[in-house]
Amino acid sequence: MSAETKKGTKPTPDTWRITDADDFWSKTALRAAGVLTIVGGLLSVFGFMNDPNRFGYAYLFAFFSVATLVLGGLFYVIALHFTGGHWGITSRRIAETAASGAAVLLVLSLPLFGGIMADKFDMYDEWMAHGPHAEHGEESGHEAPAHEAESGAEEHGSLGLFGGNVAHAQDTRTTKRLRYDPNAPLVHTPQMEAAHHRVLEHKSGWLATPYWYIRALVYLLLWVFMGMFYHRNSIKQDEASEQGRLDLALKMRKHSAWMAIAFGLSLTFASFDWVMSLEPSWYSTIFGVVIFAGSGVAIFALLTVVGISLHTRGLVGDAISVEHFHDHGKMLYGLMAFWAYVSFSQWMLIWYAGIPEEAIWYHKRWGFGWSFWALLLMVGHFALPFFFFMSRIIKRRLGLMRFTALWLLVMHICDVYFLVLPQAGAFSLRPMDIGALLFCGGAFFLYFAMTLKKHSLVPVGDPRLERSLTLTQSY
Amino acid sequence: MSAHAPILALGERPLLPEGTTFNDLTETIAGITETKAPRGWWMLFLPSLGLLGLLTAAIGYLVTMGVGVWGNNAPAYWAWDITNFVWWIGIGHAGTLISAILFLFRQKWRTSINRFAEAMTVFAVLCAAIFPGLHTGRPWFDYYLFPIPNQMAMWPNFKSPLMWDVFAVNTYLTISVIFWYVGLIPDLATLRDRSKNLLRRRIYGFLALGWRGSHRTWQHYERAYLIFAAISTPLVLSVHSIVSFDFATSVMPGWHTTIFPPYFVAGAVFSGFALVLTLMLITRSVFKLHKVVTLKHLDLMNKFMLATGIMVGYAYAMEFFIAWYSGNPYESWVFFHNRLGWGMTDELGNWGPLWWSYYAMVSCNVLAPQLFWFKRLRTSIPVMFVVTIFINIGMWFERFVIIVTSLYRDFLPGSWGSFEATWVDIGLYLGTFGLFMTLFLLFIRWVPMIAIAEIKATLPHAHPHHDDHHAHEPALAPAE
Repeated sequence: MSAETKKGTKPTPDTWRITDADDFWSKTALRAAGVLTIVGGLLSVFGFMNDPNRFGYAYLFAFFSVATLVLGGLFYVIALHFTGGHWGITSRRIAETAASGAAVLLVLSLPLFGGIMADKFDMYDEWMAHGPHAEHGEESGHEAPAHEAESGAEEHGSLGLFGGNVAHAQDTRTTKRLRYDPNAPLVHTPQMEAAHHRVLEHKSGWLATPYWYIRALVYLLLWVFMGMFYHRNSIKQDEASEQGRLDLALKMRKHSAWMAIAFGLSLTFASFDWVMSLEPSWYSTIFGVVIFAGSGVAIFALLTVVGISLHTRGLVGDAISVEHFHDHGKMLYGLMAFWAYVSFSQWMLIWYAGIPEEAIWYHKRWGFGWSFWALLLMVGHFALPFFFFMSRIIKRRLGLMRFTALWLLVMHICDVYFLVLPQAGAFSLRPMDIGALLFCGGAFFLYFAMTLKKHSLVPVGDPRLERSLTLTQSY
Repeated sequence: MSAHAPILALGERPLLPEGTTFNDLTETIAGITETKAPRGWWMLFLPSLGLLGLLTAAIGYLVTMGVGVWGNNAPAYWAWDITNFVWWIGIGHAGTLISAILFLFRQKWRTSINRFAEAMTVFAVLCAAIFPGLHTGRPWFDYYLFPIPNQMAMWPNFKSPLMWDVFAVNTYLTISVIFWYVGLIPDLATLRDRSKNLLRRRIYGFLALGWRGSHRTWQHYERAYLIFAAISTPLVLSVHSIVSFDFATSVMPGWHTTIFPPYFVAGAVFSGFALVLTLMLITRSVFKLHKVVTLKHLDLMNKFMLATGIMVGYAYAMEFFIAWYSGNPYESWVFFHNRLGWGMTDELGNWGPLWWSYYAMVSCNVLAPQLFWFKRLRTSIPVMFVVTIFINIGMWFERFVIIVTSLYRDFLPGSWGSFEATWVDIGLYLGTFGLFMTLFLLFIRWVPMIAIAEIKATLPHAHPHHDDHHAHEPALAPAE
């Protein structure tokens, strides 16, 4: 079934499919994903029971890693439609499938938001406690209600608006949650506390809980809608008549315009709400662009790894061939360099100006065991691949290309880890981190593999398909 | 070929009109340099020379009297000079984007505009360089900017982004000139071969570096072109990023924000495209290039402007959002008071003197390009001409807003001031237009302003299997 189309015959939705003859994609991948999800789920449950607060960070990391894959998929599909590019059409179905995984993301978000609502995860407490409902407790100093007592203390343990150690004398009873050397001299003056309080008070309108949850729901539903829209219509296009295909192509192109804008804004504000706000007094205007660049790396890495697997197993024939992987490689390389460019810009400008409110974020990421992780990203997410991956030869050798893509996918996950976990304190890679990642990633991949199996692997209904099938690299 | 034929039902159209031949293109483009200049050319050239004279006078006066003749003051230490510098550098970026980045993305439509835009890059960077050169106060000591070993062991401050700028802009200029020249070689050879008199043949022959059009020379040429495109791509991003560092590394509210590097790059491409299009519309009508630069090209350029305009709008929005979100009172002061004018009234009830510049910037840069959502407006010559002029103005205001409205009312109300441009400020800015237009007009008269060799590759006959099948189908160029 997976045989190549002979010259002159038009591909049908059955031309390129995962068949039962292929053990890996029809059985092994699904089983492996299922087992990993279960193992990850168990590790997660143990992690949660052991240290719910720390697990909150681990789960956020895993959830956001999957979110970047979904967002990357949306980016690929939307961008391909509005630019009318043909180079990537044959691998569009893989991206569409990843983008439609937004539905899985919606489900995966339940434990996260549930944990926050149930006060089990404390990562946002610093500003949530400043929301309208908690204002009174804050005003009256340290007589916070019982259920907030611990989180209130945690708040003082964090390094807020000012550099230096702000551990409060009262915090000694929660030393396990202290992020910094408890023996360091206290530099926590009432004026500093007041100023920090003022900043959080100022933005409580944005970060206060009801609006924060509503926004999260809006982002997720928007992604589900966009992911489903492209996946459904593209599948409809596979079966449609000649005219139907053209109509659907025009429809998908038409909607790509507003979706590109909705995508950009939702990605930006979701990353502000979920990740940037972990350090409530910190801010960076480029943050959304950094997340976007990471998402781009994620999807091209995924497309390459999955595409090469399908290609070498003969499931897509030459519909996705070395010519396409070469283009994926170029995009992956470009986005990797773009990620480095925006990440460097963010770091360099903050380092150069040295404003404490901003520098705090990097302060937590340089030291406390995190320095090597920062170096790992500099070398692994940029320096090494920048030179290794530059050559045309690498991009056209499937083995090397697969290795590089896998490497960058791992590096991307390390990057998300670096965005989230330093907020939880000193470096400690715990089984629950792996567990949460396996759970979220496994669930996503299970959905991904199952959905991929159901439909044609190539969007055969695209009117520009032939251009993509006959793609050759002129340079 | 058939796969690449435009799908009319999807709105695709061939790039060049059906039936265009290789000879048509050569005749049209090379002909411009071989015939007498049309009256339109002279109508542009003479005023440009006049403005060039104004530039010389303004520079002479400035150098004689010192930079005090500018409106710059304390606290507006930087004003029109740096605004003009950033604006001109930005104009140059479109050229590199079109010639290098669109090349790497295999956007064949670039061939009608790349040469033109590359030339603009070179001239724009020259105009830009004048301003910081003069701003040093004593331009005869400008060589201090370069790290030249000297007996005083004095070195420029390598930690300063202004220093990085010197390197970035010089590298950019050098590579842009070489890239431009490399691309010109086959076309210079065409002009040489068409020359009817000896002098002309000798000059073009010298410049064509002995080009014979053999397979070997083409192979070297293509390889060099690709390498230059690959070098220019990170370079163009780095130049405007480093220009943005001039501001963003400071602690100045309104200057220090992390989105500046990509935001400046997007803005540069945006403004560059606008000026390319403004001039292209004029040139196209003066030299009757309607069949070479078609509505399809103009449509695509307008889409680019829409996209980059939205990116710039995104950056404005992020700056505002973060100015509020950060809770940093200085940051929000600059954005909400200095720029939007909220609560800036003085005791007489007047708003701050420069509030209007922000509104000028947003309406020109964010609102005006939104017209390009509509195909009818995107393909209307008068509309696009007006919009590109708006964008040119808006992008100048963007730099003015960033520089002056951040500086003139800063941390200490006691040191607040204002800014008013003097005739020297205005004269220098207009004068650089004279320099730019003079060079540009000379360029279109003496050098093929459209890449003849490259544009031919977009014709269907350039496809190796063009004649194999579809002999009866109309010959349509690839839609790319």
